[in-house]
Amino acid sequence: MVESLLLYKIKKYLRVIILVILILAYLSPLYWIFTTAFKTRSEMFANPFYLTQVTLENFEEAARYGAFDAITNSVIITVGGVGLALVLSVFAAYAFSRYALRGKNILMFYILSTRMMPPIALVIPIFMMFQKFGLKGTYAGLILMYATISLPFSIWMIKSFIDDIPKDIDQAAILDGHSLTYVLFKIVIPMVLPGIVASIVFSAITIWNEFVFALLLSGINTRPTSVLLSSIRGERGFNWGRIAAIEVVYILPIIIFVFLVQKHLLRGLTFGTVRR
Amino acid sequence: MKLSGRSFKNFISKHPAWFMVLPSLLILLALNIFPLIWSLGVSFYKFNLIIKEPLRYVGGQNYLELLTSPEAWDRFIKTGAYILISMLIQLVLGFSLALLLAEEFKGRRLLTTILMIPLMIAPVASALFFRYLLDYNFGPINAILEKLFGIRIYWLGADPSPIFGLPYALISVILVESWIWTPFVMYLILAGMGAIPSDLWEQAEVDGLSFWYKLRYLILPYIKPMIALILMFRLMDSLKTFDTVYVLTAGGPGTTTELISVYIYKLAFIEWDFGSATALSYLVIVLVIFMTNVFMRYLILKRG
Repeated sequence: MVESLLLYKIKKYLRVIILVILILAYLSPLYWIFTTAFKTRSEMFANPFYLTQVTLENFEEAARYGAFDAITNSVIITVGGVGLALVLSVFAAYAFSRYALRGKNILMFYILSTRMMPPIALVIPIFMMFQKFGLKGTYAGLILMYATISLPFSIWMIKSFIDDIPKDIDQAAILDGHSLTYVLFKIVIPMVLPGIVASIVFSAITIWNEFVFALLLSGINTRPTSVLLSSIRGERGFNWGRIAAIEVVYILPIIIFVFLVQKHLLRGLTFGTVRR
Repeated sequence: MKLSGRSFKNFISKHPAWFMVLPSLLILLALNIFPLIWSLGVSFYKFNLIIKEPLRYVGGQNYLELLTSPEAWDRFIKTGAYILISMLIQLVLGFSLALLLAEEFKGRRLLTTILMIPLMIAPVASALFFRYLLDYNFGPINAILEKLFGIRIYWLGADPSPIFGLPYALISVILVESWIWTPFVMYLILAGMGAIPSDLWEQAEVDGLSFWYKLRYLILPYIKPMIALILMFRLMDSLKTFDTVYVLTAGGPGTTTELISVYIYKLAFIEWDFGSATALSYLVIVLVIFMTNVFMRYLILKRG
């Protein structure tokens, strides 16, 4: 009996150790991004594995290369897109949840179909439209586009949270003589805050990372970080230190975000698969 | 003016729901539905921005040309090989990780959270960095290979690899995409395993069933529908693969890694042939809808 217990414990620890090794190996590319960003140029080629001497010169060079502007653009576009999508989707989600609107089921199908659509199919006509209306290369154009992209998912996510609140609560408030605006802002929105946070998180990550639309619809002055990264080429090959420095600034907020909002991320990831 | 203002207000108070949905509807109509209809229309025209000839209606000629063009078929076959191999890798790896993470232990939550990082950072950033890792001269992967086996590999070159003779560059694309997406598969499988009733688990523990027995008769039957779902999602997303290829190889060397999305991009924004590009996009959409239907039917059958 004691022996089998010991065996069980060994097995268990062995499994955890294997798992930890696997995951460390899996995440080693991240280790390289972070160490390379702080390496001097000479050390990069002499010694690809460790970091012995910390330098910030890569970050200085990245700033000279326009990384600061690109990050600022990313922030402007992300905040704008998420904000616009949020305002629109809260109203729409409430309407879809509380009223017998026609086309409710079409919405779900629509969300699925936007996921099926290759973005490249959508970007061709929008490229033409934006050029015609002078939206190409403007923040406004990108913000509008990204709000459109996040809208279906946001609506559905927030709607699923509003569905969980009993209808009687709003009805009681309306019978008490409160207006619809009061019900929405003072009763419903505070109760679905977790859903709103989840949809903000997902929209923000999607927009921050997006590439296809950014590549074709942004201009020289509105270019976000993803486009800057894709366009980097040194005079002779790549300056990997500089790239790593830009990448660290670009992905660090996301990594911090992952730890802060892990619960919401899991809900969003399995969204539409577990929940029906 | 006053009257119409009042009737507008009247309309709002009578139909508040429509008023709340309207802004979203308009924006989706303008930037999603209308463009898609427009590109469906364009796919029946000869429309090239470089050759300044007037729009010319050609019926299904764009489609016919694509379906008979060896170039387009070649891209479809490449995409197919890419999807098959990367899905296999992701499924096997994701499933193994999920099995290792299935039982509760200290630090499990931290490990599952850390695994979310590849999924959440930009594919452009990951691909660009793998370009460094896979670099022939300076990349750490070749440095490790040289130390262990004394070999160096042109990871981003066109040389055939041992895996079905596919070029190394395509294998590298598969590698990067799998690195990004394996955690996604893992999370869905973990979610599927969560549906196994806990008393069945405990019973299996008490009975001391072997691992393979548990896998075959307990886990697999429960997560079969989830696997179908994973295949469906991964299929849809893999057909859209663009960012990683664009950054890692830009479709090259030559056309070895020109997957279907990259090919559409090239048709549209390098050759400026919008007619063919939109037609090919619609062929892809039809393909996706068809395959989604097949999976959906299987899922609905499973759910009874």
